[in-house]
Amino acid sequence: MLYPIKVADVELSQPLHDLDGLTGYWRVQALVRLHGIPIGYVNVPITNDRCLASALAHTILNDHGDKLIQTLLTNRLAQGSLQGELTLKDLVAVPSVLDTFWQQQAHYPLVTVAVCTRDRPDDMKLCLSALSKLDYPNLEILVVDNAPTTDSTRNLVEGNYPQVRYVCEPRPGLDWARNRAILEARGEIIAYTDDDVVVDPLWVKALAWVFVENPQVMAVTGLVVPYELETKAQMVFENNGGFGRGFERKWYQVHAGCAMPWHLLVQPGLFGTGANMAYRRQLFNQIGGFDPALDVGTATNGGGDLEMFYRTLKEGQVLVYEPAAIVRHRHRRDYAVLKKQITNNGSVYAYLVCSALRYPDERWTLVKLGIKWIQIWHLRNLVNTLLGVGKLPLDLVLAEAYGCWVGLFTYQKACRDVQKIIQQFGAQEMDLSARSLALSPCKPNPAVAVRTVELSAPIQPIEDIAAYPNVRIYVTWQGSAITYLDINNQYATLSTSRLCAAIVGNLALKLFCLDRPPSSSMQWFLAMADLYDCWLPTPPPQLASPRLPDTVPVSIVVATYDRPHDLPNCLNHLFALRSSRPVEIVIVDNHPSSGITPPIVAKFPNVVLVNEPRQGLAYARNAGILASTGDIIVATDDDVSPPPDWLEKLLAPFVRPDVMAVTGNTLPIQLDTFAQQLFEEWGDGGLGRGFEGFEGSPHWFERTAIHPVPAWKLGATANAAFRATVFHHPDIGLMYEPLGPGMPSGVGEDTYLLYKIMKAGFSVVYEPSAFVWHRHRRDLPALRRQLYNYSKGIVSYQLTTLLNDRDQRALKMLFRDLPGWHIQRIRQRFQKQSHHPIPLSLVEIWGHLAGPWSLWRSHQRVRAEGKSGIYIPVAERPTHQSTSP
Amino acid sequence: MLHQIQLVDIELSRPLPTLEGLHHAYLLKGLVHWQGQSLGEIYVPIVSGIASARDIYDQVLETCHWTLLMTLLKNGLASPYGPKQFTVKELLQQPPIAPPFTLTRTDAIRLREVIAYETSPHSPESVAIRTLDISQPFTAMVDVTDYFKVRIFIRWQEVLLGSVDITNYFQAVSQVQLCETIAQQLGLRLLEPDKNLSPEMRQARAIAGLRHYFLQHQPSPYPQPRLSSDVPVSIIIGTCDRPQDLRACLHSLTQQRTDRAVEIIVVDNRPNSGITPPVVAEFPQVKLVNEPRQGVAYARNAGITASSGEIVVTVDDDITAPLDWLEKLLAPFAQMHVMAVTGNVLPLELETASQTIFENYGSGGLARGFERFEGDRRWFDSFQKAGRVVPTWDFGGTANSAYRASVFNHPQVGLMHEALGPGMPSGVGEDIYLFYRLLKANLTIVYEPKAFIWHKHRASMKSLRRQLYGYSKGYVSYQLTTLFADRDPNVLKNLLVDIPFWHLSRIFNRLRRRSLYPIPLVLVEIMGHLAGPWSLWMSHRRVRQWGRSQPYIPVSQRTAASVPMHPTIHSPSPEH
Repeated sequence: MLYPIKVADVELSQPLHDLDGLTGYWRVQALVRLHGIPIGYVNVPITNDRCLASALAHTILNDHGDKLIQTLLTNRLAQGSLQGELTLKDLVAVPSVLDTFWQQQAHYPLVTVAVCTRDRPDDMKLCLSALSKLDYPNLEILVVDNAPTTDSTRNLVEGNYPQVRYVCEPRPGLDWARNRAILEARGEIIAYTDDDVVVDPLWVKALAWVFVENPQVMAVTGLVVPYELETKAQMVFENNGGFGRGFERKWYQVHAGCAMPWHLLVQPGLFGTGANMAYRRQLFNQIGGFDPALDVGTATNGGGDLEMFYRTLKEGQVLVYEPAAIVRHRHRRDYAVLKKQITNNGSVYAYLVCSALRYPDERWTLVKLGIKWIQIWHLRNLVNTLLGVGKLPLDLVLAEAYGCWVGLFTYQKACRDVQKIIQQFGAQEMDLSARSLALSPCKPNPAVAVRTVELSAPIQPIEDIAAYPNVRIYVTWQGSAITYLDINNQYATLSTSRLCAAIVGNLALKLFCLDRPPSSSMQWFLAMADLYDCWLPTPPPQLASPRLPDTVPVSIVVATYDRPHDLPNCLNHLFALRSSRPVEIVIVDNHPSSGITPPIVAKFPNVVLVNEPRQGLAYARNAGILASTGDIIVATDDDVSPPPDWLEKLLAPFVRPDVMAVTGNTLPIQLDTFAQQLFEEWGDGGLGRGFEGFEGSPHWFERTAIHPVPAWKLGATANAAFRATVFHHPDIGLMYEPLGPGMPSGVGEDTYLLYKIMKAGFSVVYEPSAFVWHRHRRDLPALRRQLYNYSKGIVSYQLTTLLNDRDQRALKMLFRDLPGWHIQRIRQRFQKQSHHPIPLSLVEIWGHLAGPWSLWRSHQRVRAEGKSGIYIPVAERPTHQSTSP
Repeated sequence: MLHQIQLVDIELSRPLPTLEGLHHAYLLKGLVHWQGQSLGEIYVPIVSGIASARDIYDQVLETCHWTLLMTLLKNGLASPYGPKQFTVKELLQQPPIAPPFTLTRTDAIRLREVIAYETSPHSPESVAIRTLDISQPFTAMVDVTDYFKVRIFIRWQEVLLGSVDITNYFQAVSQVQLCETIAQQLGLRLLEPDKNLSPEMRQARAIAGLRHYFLQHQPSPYPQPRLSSDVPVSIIIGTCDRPQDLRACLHSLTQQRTDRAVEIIVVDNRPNSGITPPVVAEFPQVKLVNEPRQGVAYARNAGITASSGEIVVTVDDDITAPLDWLEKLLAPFAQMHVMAVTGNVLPLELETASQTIFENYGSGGLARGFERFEGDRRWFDSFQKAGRVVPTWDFGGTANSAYRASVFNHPQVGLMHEALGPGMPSGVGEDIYLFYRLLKANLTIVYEPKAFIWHKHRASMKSLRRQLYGYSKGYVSYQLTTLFADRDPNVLKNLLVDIPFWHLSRIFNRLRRRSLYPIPLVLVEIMGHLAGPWSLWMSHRRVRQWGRSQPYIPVSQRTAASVPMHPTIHSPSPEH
């Protein structure tokens, strides 16, 4: 299940503000920019419908500190010569390398922005309003209406946007429209975009920057970010690759006449996309225009942009990916349209067929490429989806595979259609059919130009290297060489900004103090501390400061099984809790026939007692949950003693809407006996999970396909809280009855619940400040019994994820990690590196072996005794009651 | 020559002055303290008798920041007033704690939150559990005498920071022990304990805090050390019929930006051809010395013997020097213990495949990286102890080096070894053998990458092959010389095991396409290595026939008769 994510822009040169009014959103995905140059994305949680500036800054500095410093240094280097030591504070005010470039530039070349559209006036309206805000003085905007069925686009453009030129292209097909733009454009640079995007004001400035600064560059593509992530279809599209191509400028060039290297081909959208691309006009005179048999509106339904990128590179021209040129793409909101779009992904095969026909020398590579794609993309997706671990729904995978099959044959049909269209409408005024430059076969040239760049003088472009494919640049500071860079310039001049970026990439933090740089780790620490001083002078407090509103009612569910000494102590502590919200305490007696529990509970007023005769902690907790009335349900054990401030600390993370469960730390109240000490050393440290908080997010859940997700690291139901809504969520439900103490399977009901919560797309937060004191078993026989149960439970839990959730990662745990762990521990014991007695290890191995059998027995018992009831939200319950099933 | 090290005590809690007038010593060894507590020791170079406060602080921050932070934390925990905030700024300003806390100070016992669950007979190894809020002052922990060990959960007000284990052997835990253990086991987690910071960021803020405290009043531009300008210098260039290269070289040398007396001596190693004198005549201030005995070592030695500078610089004739090169090469001599300086050699051009291959040969052609380093007997011994040959070639070569003239009449060093070096059958090695002897005599060599020159690599594949053949012969000759003349214990292993293995690994990598180094060149090098012993023997024969170079006589001891200005050595001329 996916929930809306708020897409936002954060400009770091301005003071950061809290983002307000985020009701209904789960997280903020912010594009971080410095003077308009994109740095990266951050993903920040929302607390009480706000996204705090401090949380934003904290995440930005943690995730993108290095990139931020690099950008600051590049800006500074492009601005002029260095003198003495730099301080980070001064760098923030330095304009971006892009602004510096245009400040020194007197002439802005005419840029034609071409939007090709067909019958989508609503999209056009948004697109045009963004285009009219473009920050570029010498601009021509062209709307090419492709075989329109209505006049709406014409009316929209001519009625509201007098500065926009409307052109109609009657031949159906996107590439006919793109070619029409070439014929109509007056600018020397043509920037293409689609009607479903919203361009950034700096878009044209960034594109033109690359063209003007680097005369050899023929094509530029840019960054495409999502405009919104409101619906499931949009999220699936974004998670399935989206359009993002990173935040570093990349240069693509193939040595003229040489074969295309494999690494440039294997990822089809590596160079960018048609929604954000620009060309120098003269390129089309040299290698022809777009292939009208490709892309939307023809049988092939796509691939026109990819084919053009391929042809550009194959003919030895330079293509640059420039992330500062940003457009925001409105992904399809609607699932049906998304499915159609994904079917169209098969059009990449049409592009392969087209390129293979055009370049016979590349045929074999392209065939291999097609096979590779089928193997790594379609087959893998299909297998993953069938195993239940894929990210994509099955119908989308099948749609994509179908599109791939069809794509192999459509190009020839589309070519025949083109002939028909030419017969019907006539050819376009100029011949824009694809053609080849006569290139001499490639020959290696060993020459390397040797040049120097002095940092104490303004950095000038290196122009006298037209005879060299490579340059070695010695960087000097006050006449002393401090490093060198090897740049593959391919006979082209090196612009200032390219040099600056390369120098910053090589020297990085050394630039702060060139005279006598401190050690690199020291330099990193100092720079990071300065970053904090700039953007987060007072770091956020350790404890979550926003409080869950006092009106949220809470139920504390404690399951007990005949422990007359522990239970009163636990209840005493629960009554001593400091909280100003309504708190209900539910005690579940899991052994009502003994009659031990009711008299104890009777001593405490207002405690709800629920009976559950079916033995098993999962049964007992479920009974308590069914009887509870709180919005948040806290689960704890009868042998713990929580401190007074425990409850509020445990509840604090629920201010975030995406957090469905919070777990806390469990500390030993005594370590008097050897058994208690052994238990405290067992695994990751008894029941404790460390003093640093972390988050089990869906992303964490999916992070690897091999290693099992360590849900047990999050803690256990001895100290956990859940939103009541998870218990009637279709993908989660109540605790799984066959697992847990009291059942043959031993333990695992809590871990499995956390597992399912994360799998359903929610977050689980481990909050170490909410700790309880736990009394471990005092004697060795009890410890042995407990570890035996734990070992059975680990296997039962892993088998459950394998069988119920098709999570094949469990196999690695069962057959590799657990045996390896035991062998290691026994070896360490022999080497005297560990105190863990070998008999105890044998008990655990025995427990693991008994796991499958015990799980089967538990299942049998659950079948005999029936499942727990179904959780009914409080509002839907017929009468307020606390019943036992 | 005896060089002294100045010992000082540094008390960081008081502002440090810049130390001046330390002309007798070349190095400052500082024992660093914070409020009397020892933190460690630092070494700061003394340049022209000065050790600047900024240098001392830089070294303290690099070397002692961790011990300083730990000491600050410990003091903060032990403070009787209780720190208001655990930030570096606050901790640095805390008054010193009067004579460290002892066990007797348990008079004001304040019991901490005790949460023993039930009293029961303790097993002999039972562990006590305690919590401690360090935002309040605390004293010794006396209620743990029934326990073998204590686990203390440390809190800062509401925030649980972590736990520490103290094995107390049924004793009370003193306040000193508590403070030390907490500071040791929780470390920087104690700084800004109530703030949400990653461990790296805590360390970053701590170091920045220290730096701000110590360096805020220090001047930011570093004074660049310079050798006093009344020291005269001689530059020796050996040449052998390369007029164009020599002209370019002399041009760049005569343009040097310097205000000291510079004597430039060209040694013509083939005077019979008559090609060199006209070039030298174009530069009136350049002196010419003839040395008919072929060999770079002979030529350089002749130049050195004829020189009158206190510092002798040697360069090749195929180099071009930047205008500030000479002063940068001489700057390290401002430290009195430096006896030789070598610089970096960068390629003037990489036009041809052979030049590119040469630049990728070994550790990068003639370039030796951009990091300065020093070598002396200790450095020398570190390799010998590790069973490795001393990598003297890390310093570079005589293409860009400078020496105090006094080393050439040092009994353990002397002039260059005539049997080694280009021009001799042995190929190369006279420079690295000189470094070997300098290091062995415990004289310091500094590699100063700031002083770089441009070198024109051989442009044709044929001459590259010849050069690499010569290098390979020279390497073996040099190693054999250290074996026979200096009894170096690690030579045989190097020659018989390491070198063959190196060749094999290079061939293997080339076949695996991990390297671009051509196999024919590897074969040339193997041939060269095999020819090494024979060529060394040939060279020795030649030296025996021609005689050694004349010894170097210090300028002050020279008489007009002993060294003529233009020595013409009357010895049998080469046979060919």
